[in-house]
Amino acid sequence: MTAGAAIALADVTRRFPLKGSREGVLALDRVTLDVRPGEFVALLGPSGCGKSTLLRMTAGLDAPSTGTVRVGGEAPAAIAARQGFGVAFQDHALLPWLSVRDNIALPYRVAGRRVDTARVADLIALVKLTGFEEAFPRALSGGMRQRVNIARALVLEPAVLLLDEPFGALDAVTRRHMNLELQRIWTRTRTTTLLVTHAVEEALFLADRVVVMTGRPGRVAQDLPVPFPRPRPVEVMREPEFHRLSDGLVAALEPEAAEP
Amino acid sequence: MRALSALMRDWWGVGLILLAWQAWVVVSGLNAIVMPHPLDVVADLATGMGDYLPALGVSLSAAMAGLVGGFALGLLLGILTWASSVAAGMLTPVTVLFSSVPVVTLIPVLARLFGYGPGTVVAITVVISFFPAFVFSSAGLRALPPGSADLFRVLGASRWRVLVSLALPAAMPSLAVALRIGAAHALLAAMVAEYLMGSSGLGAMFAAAKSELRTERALGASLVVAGVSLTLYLLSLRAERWARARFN
Repeated sequence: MTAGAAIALADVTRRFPLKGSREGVLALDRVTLDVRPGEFVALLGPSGCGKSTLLRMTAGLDAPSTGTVRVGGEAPAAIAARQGFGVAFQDHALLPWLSVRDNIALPYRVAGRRVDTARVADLIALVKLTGFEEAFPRALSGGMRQRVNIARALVLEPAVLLLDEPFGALDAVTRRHMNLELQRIWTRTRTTTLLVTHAVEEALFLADRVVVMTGRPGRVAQDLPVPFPRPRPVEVMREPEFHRLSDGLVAALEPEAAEP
Repeated sequence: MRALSALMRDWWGVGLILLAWQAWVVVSGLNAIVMPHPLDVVADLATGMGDYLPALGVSLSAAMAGLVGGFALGLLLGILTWASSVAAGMLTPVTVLFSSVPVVTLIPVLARLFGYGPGTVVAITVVISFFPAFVFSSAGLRALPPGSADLFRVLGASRWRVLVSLALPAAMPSLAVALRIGAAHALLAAMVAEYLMGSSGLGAMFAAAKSELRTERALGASLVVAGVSLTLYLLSLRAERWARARFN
């Protein structure tokens, strides 16, 4: 474990009980991963490789069978208790009875703090939803709902931002657009971020470091620093270097398919 | 004109029954004690409003008190089963058992406890309204938007905060269904209780009219209850639609 890591996962193993099997299913096998403060790390892997489980453990929603999870040197539950996490999952989890404004302000109410209306208004502007403050989630498009989700994750200025396929349910065009937006927002906040995704381009475009996981059991296969300077224009995705790295990551994801 | 045609469209069935009733009474030549003319019933309703309205007031207030009481009790126990699995294990079988007992058989027992009077009528409507409120609140408090439970946990929400900001609003559509079911039955339950215990209200009026062979008055009392129950049902249906649109 590196001293001063914002997120430190050390030798994390997770077994899930399985009917008819004494030892159960090994979902994660001795995964070690550090995220430095202010770093954006993408966890890239196929479905079922345990990357979401890793994220849920970081958030304190699940616990490792063996190994330790530390966030800023503390147990995740302690961070959650003082609202140190911002989360956006694939289920946008917007409350249908609250307006855009009230959904974004929800973390203040949960924390029992006075709502900072100026901060909420700033975030609405940041995710480009000005004019939709009073709209209810059912009136919004999928992309707009995820904007609200991201804004809500950021509202309390969390120490750590945890994103689990936040754009996974969106169409390709909207998804690419949302990645641009997320990059723009993140460049302003520089919050320590762990993003779970199975999309190679998304990981390369957004992250400082891409950690590739392989499945059954989940292990870290590759840890790739991303060399592109920030802010990254969309043209980065057309550079030969981007394609070379992208091909390398695809090969790392599917070792069987890469063999001739 | 449009209102009239809408009325015709929605209520032609009722009109047909009234017509058939009138025709049947005329053709068969039954005595008015066995089956009065619909017009006699309407006439008694029109002239006897001074009797009907106070009786309706008594029945309606008992029904509303029972509905509110039963609803509050059902919601309270629903919240208890939500908050504690021990409470859920204790309460759920007991309430299911309780709801399987026919209410008519409970009336003598409750009458011993609360006396032959309005107290028991309210108690009966509490029993009738309680069960849907309990079942629908226990289910509704758990019908959360996808991912919202995880969100509240990651935000370090207290149990109380989860209840107030998440579970209760999420349960609103279910609670509205419980209210609709309860509202439709509360007045009927009150009337049955009044009828069996002969105290006051429309049920007692019905019982008295029956024993005096004033069939048109007995039918009038039934019609009033049916009409008011239907109105309550339609009002609560509106409330339910609103809750569905607002909280879903």
